[in-house]
Amino acid sequence: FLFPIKMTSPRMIKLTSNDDKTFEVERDVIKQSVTVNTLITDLNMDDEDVSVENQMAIPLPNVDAATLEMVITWCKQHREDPPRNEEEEEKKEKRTDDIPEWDKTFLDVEQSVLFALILAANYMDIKGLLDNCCKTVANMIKGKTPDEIRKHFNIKNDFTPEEEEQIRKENAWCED
Amino acid sequence: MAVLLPDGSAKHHQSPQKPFSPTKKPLVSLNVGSQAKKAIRFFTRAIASVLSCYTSADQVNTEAVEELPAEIIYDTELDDMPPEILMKIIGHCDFSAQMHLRATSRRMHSLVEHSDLARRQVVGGVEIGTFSLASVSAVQLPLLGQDEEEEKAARLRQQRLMMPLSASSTNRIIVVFDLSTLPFSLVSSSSADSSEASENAPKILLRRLSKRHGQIVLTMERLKFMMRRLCVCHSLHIRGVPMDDLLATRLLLADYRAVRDLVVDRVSTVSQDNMLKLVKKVCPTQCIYVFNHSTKAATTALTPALILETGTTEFAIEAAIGCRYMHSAFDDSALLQIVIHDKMIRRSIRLPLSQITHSGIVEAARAFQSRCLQLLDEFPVDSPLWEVIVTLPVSPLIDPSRLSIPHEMAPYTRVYFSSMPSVVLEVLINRMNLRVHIDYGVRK
Repeated sequence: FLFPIKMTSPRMIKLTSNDDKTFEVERDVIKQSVTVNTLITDLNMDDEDVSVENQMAIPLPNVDAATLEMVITWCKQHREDPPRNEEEEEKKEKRTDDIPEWDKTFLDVEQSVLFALILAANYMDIKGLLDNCCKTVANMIKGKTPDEIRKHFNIKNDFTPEEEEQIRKENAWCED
Repeated sequence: MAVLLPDGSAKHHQSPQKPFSPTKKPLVSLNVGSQAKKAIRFFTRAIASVLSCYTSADQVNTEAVEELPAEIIYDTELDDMPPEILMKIIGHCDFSAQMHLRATSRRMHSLVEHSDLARRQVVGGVEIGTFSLASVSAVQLPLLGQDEEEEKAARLRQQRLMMPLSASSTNRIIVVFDLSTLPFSLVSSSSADSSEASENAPKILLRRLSKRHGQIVLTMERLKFMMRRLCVCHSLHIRGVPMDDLLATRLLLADYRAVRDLVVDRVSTVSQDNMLKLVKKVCPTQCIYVFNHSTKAATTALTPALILETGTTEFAIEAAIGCRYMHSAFDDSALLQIVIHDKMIRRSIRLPLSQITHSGIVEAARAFQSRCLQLLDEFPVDSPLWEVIVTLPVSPLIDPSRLSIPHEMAPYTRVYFSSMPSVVLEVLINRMNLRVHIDYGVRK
């Protein structure tokens, strides 16, 4: 009677953040990370004979524990998503109003957390998360004047007054 | 142990004392028989499976997170993002947001300018010429967004490829043109003349129809950037800057379309092929004006193909006053082709001094009449609207007194003097009309 239990138990992968916290995550969940997925395949870590205890942890030196936890949560939520076709995605019209509701709520965090997520998604090569994070930032930029953007994102204005005036005129020309 | 490097690649570190293999099974090393090994392996797996049912990843994660410090300080900002991420974010912004973002800082400006932005339909005019900055409300911004090293590198690169833009002897400006990266900047022939050269340098004038937007002047190096922005521009005027192969190439490489008017006020050393390519690319719908040229090369570059392969309703080639070069490509056969080129409903064409003769004019009128009668047979009830006006300057090869109309053309064709003053040969059949003006008023 133990065989059916073994067959249904999910394969677990260990991930270690840069602050030495270890997470166990289902193989099916973390497969959305192309980086981790490639590593697992390349290092032949899919061997079912190796127990979780004996399995080596995959270190992620660019991701801290809190961000990694968020990444794992996102991956769990999107584990059933169909695989992305990059060519199709490139051809599609660039929109920012198509972020799923769950993601909107999930990404409604502090700017710094969002940027940490973007860096983690980029490092771990999770296209869906990276796209939705970038769209969220783009939505923050939309509808704001240059001054408002600077203030919102703490961007330092390093233009000379002449340059700023020139750009202002160019922008006015391009506006409807 | 595998270490994930920052570039995403994996490096497999193994201890020399204890080589680790994920496929190696530690239990096999026990000194027992094969049947016993199998039994041990079986029970180990079974126990591990049972335990895994009670240990979920959530629990592990929760425990791990609980051990984290209560407050995590993040200090990542938008400006800390690598260029590829910023480009991705910019790519998701709409045109207005991109334009606003480029006005925030030098870095953002540089990124937005180098991104492949969506183009905007702008109804306005683009003029390339020598403009005084004082005449328009604009400030020069030559190399914004590039750091000093880039500027130096660009300058060095450009110095290797110095080529003159202008054939004019009065123009002391040396134009530096790098075809590999297409920057286009100007340096003066001497440092003392730098301010003067900068003042006289060719610039792009962007003109919007709306008074609110007014007009701005940009330096030539911004041509590619601004032209890329334009989906529809009202007109492309090249004034005071001689059209040569370099300028033509640059315009051919710029990304724009649907220009209404093309005005080239001085054709210089541009090749016939490039001129034709340019006219085809610009594809103006309303008019093509080419005037003020005075060289043999210019007369060679201008051919009937410019008229036949474009759909403009107005076309004019006028050489500089005093220029007596004959445009040899325009001869009797070319005139015949032009008048029976019935792709346009209404067309007005002004030709330069050419090899067209009075007998060629009559032959063209005969061909036009013949084509009209064919059309009349095809559409007896509602004949098509077709109007062609060709204006020619007075020429030694055209004797108006010898514009004799054959008998068979008499019902539809006549010759008369207009008040221009000019002699007019006219063919009129229903709504189809050809008028050839031999104009005495233009040339002195």
